This record gives sequence, structure tokens and C-alpha cells, in this order.
Amino acid sequence: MKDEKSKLLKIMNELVRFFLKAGNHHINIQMDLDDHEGVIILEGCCTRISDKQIRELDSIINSPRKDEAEEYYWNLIGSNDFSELHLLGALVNDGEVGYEGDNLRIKVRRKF
Amino acid sequence: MENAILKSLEFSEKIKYRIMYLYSIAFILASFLFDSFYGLVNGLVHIAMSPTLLLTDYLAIGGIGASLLNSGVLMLLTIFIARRNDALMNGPLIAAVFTVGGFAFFGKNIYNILGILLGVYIFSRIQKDHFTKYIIIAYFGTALSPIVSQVSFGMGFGVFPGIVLGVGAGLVIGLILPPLASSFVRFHQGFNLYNIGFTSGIIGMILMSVFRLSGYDHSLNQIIVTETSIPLLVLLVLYFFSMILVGLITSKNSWKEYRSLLKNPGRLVTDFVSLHGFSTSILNMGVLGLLGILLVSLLQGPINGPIIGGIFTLVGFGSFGKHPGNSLPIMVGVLVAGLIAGLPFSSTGFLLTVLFATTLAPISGHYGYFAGILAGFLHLALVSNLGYLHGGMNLYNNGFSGGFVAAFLVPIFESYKRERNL
Repeated sequence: MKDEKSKLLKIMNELVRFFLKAGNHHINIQMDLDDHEGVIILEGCCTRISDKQIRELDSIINSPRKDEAEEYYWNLIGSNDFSELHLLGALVNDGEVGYEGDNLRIKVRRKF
Repeated sequence: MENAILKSLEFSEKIKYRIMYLYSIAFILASFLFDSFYGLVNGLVHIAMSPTLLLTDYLAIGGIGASLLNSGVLMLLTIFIARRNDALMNGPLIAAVFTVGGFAFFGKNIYNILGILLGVYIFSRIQKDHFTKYIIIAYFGTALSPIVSQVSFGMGFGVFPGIVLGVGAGLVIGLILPPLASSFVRFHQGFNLYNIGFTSGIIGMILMSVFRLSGYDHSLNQIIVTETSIPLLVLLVLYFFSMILVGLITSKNSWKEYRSLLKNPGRLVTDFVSLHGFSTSILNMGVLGLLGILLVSLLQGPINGPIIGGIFTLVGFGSFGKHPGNSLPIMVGVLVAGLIAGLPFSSTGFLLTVLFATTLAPISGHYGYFAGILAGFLHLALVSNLGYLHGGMNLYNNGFSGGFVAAFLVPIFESYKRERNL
């Protein structure tokens, strides 16, 4: 529980990395926390991303959370030069991906 | 809708668990082909009460039957604990179960792993967290189980005080492993698959330094069988071949999916079960098992306890980062280094390095074959210098070495890439 804020911060870093890689120049970040969960929402433009990548991302963030790997590997996410999207998928409960025009919106939720 | 998804997931988990149970029970049943009931029990007692520093071959200590029984029981126990904690049978867990099963041929036994498992469990309770989050650390953390055996039976404390102190040492290890494992993974950035091997190497090094400061020291063991038992070899070939069959029977697209799996760099955390399915993963595990046996046979090495441990670890990580494409360049690197240094290819020590060096498979997967060969080359040079530091008490010595090699090479490779990753 005491690492939850650190984990959310790293999840946010990983998503920012994804946005930067997708060519976004403007990124708005919103983070909401209460006693039971944390929600992170990122919106950005001007995204260059294929429909296949969108589908993959949606599948990853909605895959079942995998507690087994969490304490071992969460420090890898959002902390170095390498993409850890699959690890992000293991750490969040669910999410949404919206892509309209060249605006990308990603929301992820992690229950504590 | 959510319930339907959970139900299908649960069903699939049931099958995965059943298959894993079958592979552990197979070893337990096979043990009776090699020894009588009395012989097995006697062998297990010898195994449990032996100091288990590197290299202690349980085939020499307790016999083939007792070693198989020890391996089967430890795998069964780890699978049972995972099921009781509702852990998903995914890549990391399969890798951990087979690694424990493999090292049950040379270092882990029912006595010396329990204290460490209990220590990690107590840590999870202190953190008011579920044990499932720490189960992988607990299983891989049994790398330090020789410390429990050595304190119990190798330091002259007497049986009862030795057992109390040994189990106490296991508990302490279990209590400090989780934060260290989580922290050290950043050192090698996930390019060393045996992350706990690196963490355990650091813990073993510090403990051994304290032992030496207090005037205690010991020499490394070299108790190994040098002949291959043909019935054991046949059993292992059938065991790994059955994995290929299971992979092919349970999925129509296994080979097609397997080609896709072979394109993965394999860096931590690459869970093949989540990415490519259980069928493709177990197919890859079987292929790696047979590859390991073929390699040892071609180099005319013996199939003894440590070698089986090396092959089983290769097999386990066939669900969690390793495949022939990223493992072979590392092995070639070790062989080239061995050739230049004039090392005997058939020796157990050298073959163990060939097998365990594949902890660095993500380097060849990510940076290419030549990078992999260089990593394998450096690994052989480094690994033989590190055993002294932890006094042979860290069973994953190659993971210790792999952490340094990866931490040394990855920043250099990254600096000279044309574009920075994002």
C-alpha cells in the first residue's frame, strides 16, 4: 500500500513515454486518487499511431492484472529507456483508449 | 460479460495447473523406478542433511531416485502454494517452479527452502499485502537455501542449535529479499533474466564477508557424478518431448505462433504465456530442453544433478524470455571464450556456464547475435571470479555474474545506437 503512489507515478511515466513515442507535442495529464483506487488520464495531440497499435494498447491495458510479477518487476516500469507496456498492463485493472482525428486519450485504473 | 471472461480464465487456469501438477507427479512416480521406498526415504534424508554449497550433486548424495523425488515434491509444493494463493500460472511462475525443480538436483531440498519461503510470507504480512505479489521472489529466492543447510549442518553448531540458527537465517533472508530484488532489477535494466540470482549474490557476498570477519570460512564443494545414467537420460528426453507434444496437441496454431514467439527479444518482463499462450510456451520449453540435452551430449558432458538443474532452468525460462534464437548466440559466446582459454568442454563447470549464461539471452534478442556472443564471452570470463565472493552459497552464481555483464554492456550498446529508445 505504501508504494501505491510510486507505482502510479511510474505508470504515468510509462504512458507519457507512449505519448511521446506516438509523436504528441501537447500532453495533458490528470490523476485522481482516493482510498481505493488511482485513475490516470492522458490526452494529447498530435498523435501518429496506427489502428493496430491502438487495438494492441487497448488489449494490453484491459488484460487481467497479474499480481505475481508486481513486487518483483514494478521498478522497471517508467524508469529507463525501454518500453514496458506489457508490464503496465499487468499493473492496472482496466482502461480505455480513445483516438479521434489526431487526438489520443488513454485512461487507466489501478485498484489499491 | 466480466463473469464470462473470468470463468473462461479460471477454466484455462485449471488446465494449466493440472498440466503442471502432472509434470511434478511424473518425477515422483519415476523415482520409484530407480530405487526402493526405503532407498528413497534414506536418500531424501541424506539430501536434506547435507551442506549444499556449490557444487553438491544430489545424484551423488542421495541417488537418482531420491533426487527425482526431491525435485517432484518441491515442484508439487510450489504449484500447490501458488494455487492456494490464486496465482495465475503464467510465465514467471512456470519459470520459478521449474527452476526450483531443477535446483532440487543440486542444492535445494524440502528442508532448506522452507525458512526462506516463510520469511517472504512474513514480509508480505508485515506489508499487509497478499503473498501472491511476492510469490515469484519467494520461489526464486530459494537460491540462497545453501546458507540454511550450511548454518544447520556445516558450521559445527550441533544438530538442534544448527537447525534453529539455519532456519532463522532462512527467515532473515526471506525478510530482506523482496525490497532488494525489486531494487536491483534496475541495475541491469531487465537484461539479466535471473534477477534474483544477482540479488542473492549480493546478499551471499555480504553474509560471507561477515562470516569471514568473524573468522569462519569454508572451501567450495565439488561433489559431482561424472557418468551419465542412460535410464535417466531417456526419462528426461521423454519428459521434454512430451512438452512438445502437449504444445502441439492443445493448439492448432502452435508452430505459427511459435515463429512469432521466436521474434521476441525476451527482456524482463516478457511473459510468453500471456503473449503467445500456454501451448506455444510449453512447446518452446520442450524444444529448449531437448536443445540442452543435445548440446551437453555433443560436448560429451555427463547428465548429472547440476547439468539437469541447468537444463531445467533453461526449460522454465522457455515460458519467460528464452528461446533458441536469443539463447544460442550467448552459448556460442561462452564456447568461443572456452576455446580461446583452452577449457575442457565436457567438464560440468564449463557446461553449467554454457547453459546458465542464457540468463543474458535478452541481450542477443535486443541488440543482435554479435552482442549476444560478446555477452556470452564476457560472462565466462567473469563468472568464475564471483563464486568466492559468496562462498558458493548463492546457487544462481550465473545470475550474479549476468547482472554485472548486463549492467556493463547495456549502457555502452545504448550509447552507440543511432536513436535513443523511447
